[in-house]
Amino acid sequence: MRRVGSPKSRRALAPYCWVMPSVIVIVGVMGYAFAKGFSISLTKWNPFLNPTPVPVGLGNYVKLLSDPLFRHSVYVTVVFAAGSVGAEMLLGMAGALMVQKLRFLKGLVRTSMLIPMMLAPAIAGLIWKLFMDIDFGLLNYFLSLLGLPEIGWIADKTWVLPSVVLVDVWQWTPFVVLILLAGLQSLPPEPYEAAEIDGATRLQAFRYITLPLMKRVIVITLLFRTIFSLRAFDTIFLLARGGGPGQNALTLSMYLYERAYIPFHMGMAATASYIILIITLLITAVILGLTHGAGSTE
Amino acid sequence: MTVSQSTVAARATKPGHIKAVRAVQSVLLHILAIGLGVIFIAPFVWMVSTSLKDVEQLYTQAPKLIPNPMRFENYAEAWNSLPFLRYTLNTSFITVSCIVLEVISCGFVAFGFARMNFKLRDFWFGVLLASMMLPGSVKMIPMYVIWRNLGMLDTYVPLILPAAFGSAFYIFLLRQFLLGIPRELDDAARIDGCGYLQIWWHIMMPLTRTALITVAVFTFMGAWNDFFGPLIYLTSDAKKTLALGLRIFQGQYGSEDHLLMAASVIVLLPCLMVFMAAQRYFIKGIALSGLKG
Repeated sequence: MRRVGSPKSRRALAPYCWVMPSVIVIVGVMGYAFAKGFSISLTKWNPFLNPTPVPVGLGNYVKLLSDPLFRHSVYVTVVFAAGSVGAEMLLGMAGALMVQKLRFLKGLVRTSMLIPMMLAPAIAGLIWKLFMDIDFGLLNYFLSLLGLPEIGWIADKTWVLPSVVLVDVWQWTPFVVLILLAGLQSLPPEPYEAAEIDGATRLQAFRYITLPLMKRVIVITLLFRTIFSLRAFDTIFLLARGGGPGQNALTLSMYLYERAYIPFHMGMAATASYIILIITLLITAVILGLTHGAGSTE
Repeated sequence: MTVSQSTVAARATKPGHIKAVRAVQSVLLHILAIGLGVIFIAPFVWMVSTSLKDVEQLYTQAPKLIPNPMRFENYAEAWNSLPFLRYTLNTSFITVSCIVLEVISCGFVAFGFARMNFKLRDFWFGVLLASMMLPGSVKMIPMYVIWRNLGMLDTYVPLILPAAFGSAFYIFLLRQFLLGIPRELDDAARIDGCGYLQIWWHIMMPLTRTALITVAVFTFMGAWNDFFGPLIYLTSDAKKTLALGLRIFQGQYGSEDHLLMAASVIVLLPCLMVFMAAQRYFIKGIALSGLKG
């Protein structure tokens, strides 16, 4: 609805006053950080030992990519992200569908399922550390009640990665439940009524009505969880400092912290952040490519 | 109308055994859902339980859920061992400032993107969304350098001021919500002589209340629980926040799990109350924004 005459110029300018201050600051800060970070990644810089950065070209990238420990941490990160996000999406969908269908105690169950979302990662880490204690932890107590052998959890080479995945699933499934539940609640009732008349089973209704209608919400949730799990840090930091036994829980952000921030290798730190960014972009592109067109049976 | 009537008809003509199967399914569903709920709430319950135990009850081979005796003194002991009142006030100040700024700025920018036409609008919106992809670790060093050069270290400015410019995810959420509100409202208001500013403040802000509450709750949890921000920017003890306090506490009383859990419950309690009060709004808030595009 553009108007002619003098108010036009004012009207044309107004939108920029509304959105541009924020866009300029948010995008500007990001752009600056992006460029600055990249220029730091091309240097050897320890703010305490050599305050002026020494240019090394792509040396940091070469060094990191040829470090077996770094490659190991790429592997750990991908396994961590795939395991936790996969479980979160399945469990989150199951949880949301169940809560949606409940006739009794709906509010109570919903609240219980959402509670982990409010616990600060630092607090969640503390509790799970207690849970996973070998001698006095609740998890091993339950295992012994069931007559199963006890597990070393975060103190064990093989179990440390599954353990941090478990905690991540516990902490982030509620987010998935929340978003999917909101999505389910905004679905129109008509297709389900029609399906019931046609004698469709619940499974068919889910497959041919719910999934296609929810596709967008599911893909967005999947993307969010993937992006954030690729940079997961807080709880892993508390549960498996230094990557845990055998460094088998050494995710990329743990590597970045232990190998670059702590020894003040700022160039290396910036380089590692960039590689994390590139991996994130690649995986995002793969997810978008795979989900594009899939499941739309409308 | 006709659809729902025919559904009733379809239900009424269902044979009895299908009803029985459905009833059994429903019972199973409730058991499963409650089980899942219990699993998710269990660590929290255990945390409260541990916070009420005395030392002898901490390390036993058969842990008990309900402590006997219950030791409420743990809370007083935890509270008094560090300046938690100071930390609570500091954290509240940061959190409230962030919420006010974030809600207003995100609402404002989202209105611009949802309701105004200008060149490259969708491009700028895309750029804004893309900025979310950048990991915090890329931002960390450059941001620190900026704030240091501005002389803002050891103040609350680096923790609060960014909220005044909104954040991409919340702008996205609110824009989606606004797109669902009919344009006729704007047109009617414009005919009555309202400008953008009045339409935004008097019409859109009240109508987007549920989504704004969602943003407020998320901002609350983010600011209240933020650990790295305060860790990097705050150095003097008097300015520290609860998340940092908990960390200090952990360093000093790390082996005394019951006190640590009591301190954690204290830090967590405000979050729990806000969450309980707001949860139905924010499920609705996300549902209506639909994340649909």
